[in-house]
Amino acid sequence: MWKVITRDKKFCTGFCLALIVAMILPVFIKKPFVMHILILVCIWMLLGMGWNIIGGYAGQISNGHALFYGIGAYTCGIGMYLFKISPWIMMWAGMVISALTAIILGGPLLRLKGHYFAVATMAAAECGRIIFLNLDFVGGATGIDFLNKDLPAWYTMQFTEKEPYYYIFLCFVVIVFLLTKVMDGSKLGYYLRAIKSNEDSAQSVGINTTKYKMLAYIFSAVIVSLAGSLYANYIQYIDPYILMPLNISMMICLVAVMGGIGTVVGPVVGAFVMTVISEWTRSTFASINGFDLFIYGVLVIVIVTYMPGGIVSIFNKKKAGCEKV
Amino acid sequence: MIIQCIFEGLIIGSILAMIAMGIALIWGVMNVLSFAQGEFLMLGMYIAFYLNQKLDWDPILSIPVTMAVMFGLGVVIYKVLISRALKGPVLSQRLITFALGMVLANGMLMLVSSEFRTIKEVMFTGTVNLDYLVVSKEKLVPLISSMTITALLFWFINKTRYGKAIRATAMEKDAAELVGIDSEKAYMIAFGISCGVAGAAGCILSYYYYITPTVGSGFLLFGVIAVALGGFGSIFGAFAGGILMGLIDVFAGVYFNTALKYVVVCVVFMLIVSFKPKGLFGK
Amino acid sequence: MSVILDVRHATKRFGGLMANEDITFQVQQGEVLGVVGPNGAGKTTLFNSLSNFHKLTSGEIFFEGKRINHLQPYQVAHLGIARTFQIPQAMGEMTVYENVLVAAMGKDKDEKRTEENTRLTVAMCGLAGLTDKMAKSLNVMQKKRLEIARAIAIKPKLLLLDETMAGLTGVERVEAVNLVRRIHQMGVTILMIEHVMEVVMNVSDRVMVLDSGKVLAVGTPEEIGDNDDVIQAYLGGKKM
Repeated sequence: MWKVITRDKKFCTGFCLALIVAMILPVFIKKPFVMHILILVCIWMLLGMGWNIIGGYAGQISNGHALFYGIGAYTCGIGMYLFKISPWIMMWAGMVISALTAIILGGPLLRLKGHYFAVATMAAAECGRIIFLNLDFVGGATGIDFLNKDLPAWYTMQFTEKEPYYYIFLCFVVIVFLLTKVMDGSKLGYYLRAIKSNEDSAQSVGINTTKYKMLAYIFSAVIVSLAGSLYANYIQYIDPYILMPLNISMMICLVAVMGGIGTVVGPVVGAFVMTVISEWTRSTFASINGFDLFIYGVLVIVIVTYMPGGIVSIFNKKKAGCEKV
Repeated sequence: MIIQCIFEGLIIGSILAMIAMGIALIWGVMNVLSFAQGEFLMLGMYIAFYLNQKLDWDPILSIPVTMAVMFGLGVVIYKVLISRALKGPVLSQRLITFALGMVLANGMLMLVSSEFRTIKEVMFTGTVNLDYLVVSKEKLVPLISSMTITALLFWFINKTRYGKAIRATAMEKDAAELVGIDSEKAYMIAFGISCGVAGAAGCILSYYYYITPTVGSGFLLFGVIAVALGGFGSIFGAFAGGILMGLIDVFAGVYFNTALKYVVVCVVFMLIVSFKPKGLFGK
Repeated sequence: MSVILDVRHATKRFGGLMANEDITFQVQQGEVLGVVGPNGAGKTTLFNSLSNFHKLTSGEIFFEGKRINHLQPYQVAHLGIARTFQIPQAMGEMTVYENVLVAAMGKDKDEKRTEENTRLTVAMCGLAGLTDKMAKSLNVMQKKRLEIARAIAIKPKLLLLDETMAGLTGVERVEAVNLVRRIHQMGVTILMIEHVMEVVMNVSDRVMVLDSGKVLAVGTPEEIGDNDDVIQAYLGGKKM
């Protein structure tokens, strides 16, 4: 399995370099705001990579992944607030619940195609949002603040500095990234791409399309749930509006599309670019209400229109061009 | 009581149906799921609002003007954005319409503030008292207006030359082009009409709903669900879906639980679409 | 010689249209059975039924003695029935090599053997120079070869070929026929839908004629050529 990674020398060197840079970066950064951006970048990388498995590889475009994000965030929040259980444990609970939700939803929904599937996932996410909105024991519309200063920081995953968050999140990003790379070269990866490319053809060569689509859906739900759990612990607060389903769901897709849908590196690159743009616009144009999202929307339109294959596709084109020479 | 519920359901449903039909038109003709429809609704509301503020026009009377303006806007947006988006992948098209919605909503937010506004005075006030039903004119007039617009839309799509051209392009683009229909123009008009209808829905909605730049997103979701419920691009299906959802909304709210009524709507939708993957009327 | 495929009273109705009606026939292991008939006779519908891409309205299909009506298409493929599609259904976003690899993967867990199987299949179907090309960029002839490559990569016992020769020119047709013969020599039973009569008559051991959803006649090429009903309905009154 790991041969897949070691065989690809270019990937290994690139990855190691990037990892080294990522690890020593905090030493050079003085402003907490920049650390904040890096932490958010990690979260969005996880979100993008997770979604990419069902949306990019399997080709089932879900516009409702905010549901799993919410489940992950709420399980950690509830666990800490009500029961003082560590998020290190609750994140697994969140992942299990998300996986079960994916199984229950996926059964009927994965049979749907195209727009119908997208709308159904949106409906599911909306259900989730309304349920969270009405869960009074977690503050309903106002949410809850589960900051806990009594228990040790490593237990609650609530640190006063940003660096610990960054390194913990980075670990998860690395793990998921490597898993994605392994999956990409494995039977699962090929099968998903075959299903995305031509489902009838895939069936005719013996691929159990239902099973593999379900697997992809479950994996994507679990990873997105993890991201939700981590984020909740970072901001130590949960409420249904943070989730704002369609916005979050679409931005999760956006991360993967901007970077390069269905590629290993795409969501990582996309997350970086998207988070930097959105946080930059938010801080620069904070004075005028709505200007930041306005600019963000315009940029999204421009990027998605002129780079349908994502940022990664620019590099692939260059490579192809060189080969011709 | 039931009749009251049906009435209320029809009002909400008819507006939802108008939004849904606009989405269905774009879905059916160009196979694009447009996430900006809620914002076109919002723009219609603001046009009605300002005409009411400056010229004391009743929102219902603003409909023709609003529809014309929104139609123009729709045509421009199609030419600048959508026609290019159509060449790309499906998800990119959705993302572009989503981002467009964001631009419109936030652009509006920048121009006006986010405070809620309402129409100050409408022309038709008071109530109509039928035996088993007390109907406020503020609700009856919107209902009649939306039914009228819906009827006009059906007439246009089914009876006029342009409408038939659009339907032909939707069903079989290449064949339509072979018989001399300009598919680009058909797409453009379809998009313009869908914006116009959303704008009209906005005027009608402003009769009794609050106006704010972000009002669109709630309606978008249910509009989209209504379309999927009805079935692929079927305008009638979207209409039926919208009405159905309005009725479920009201009945669930009254008999079940107001807070969770949207959950009921969504669950019903998911159940229906699980058994009929192409919608109730889908082909 | 044993019966590999046993079809009994297969009927497929689409709403009001009776596409296949009471079709009964048997395929002997190792033979080449040609399936001919005018357009709309129900040939491709039959193939779709045999590979379970849709369910029969009534009737039964037995493969190697096992009833396969209730299976999913991928399960039918695993049992050993491969098919090509009339309009080539290539996995456009993957390379030629990957298209075949994905098929081969289902058969073997061993990576090396899978890769070798893929390479051999690719070479056998004359696609060796195209392995890195995107499937969607192939021309029609290449796509058809890819169809066949994908089908034989799953090491089928029965191969359903749907109009492989359509649109091929003289030289291409000879190559295609040679490929089919080589596959047959490997021990694969073949059912082939064809319109090109000379191919069918030369390659098939037996021929089955369908007309308006029903079996008109089954027999050797000579018998079919002499059959009055067939001549009337299909060959237009002229003797072969």
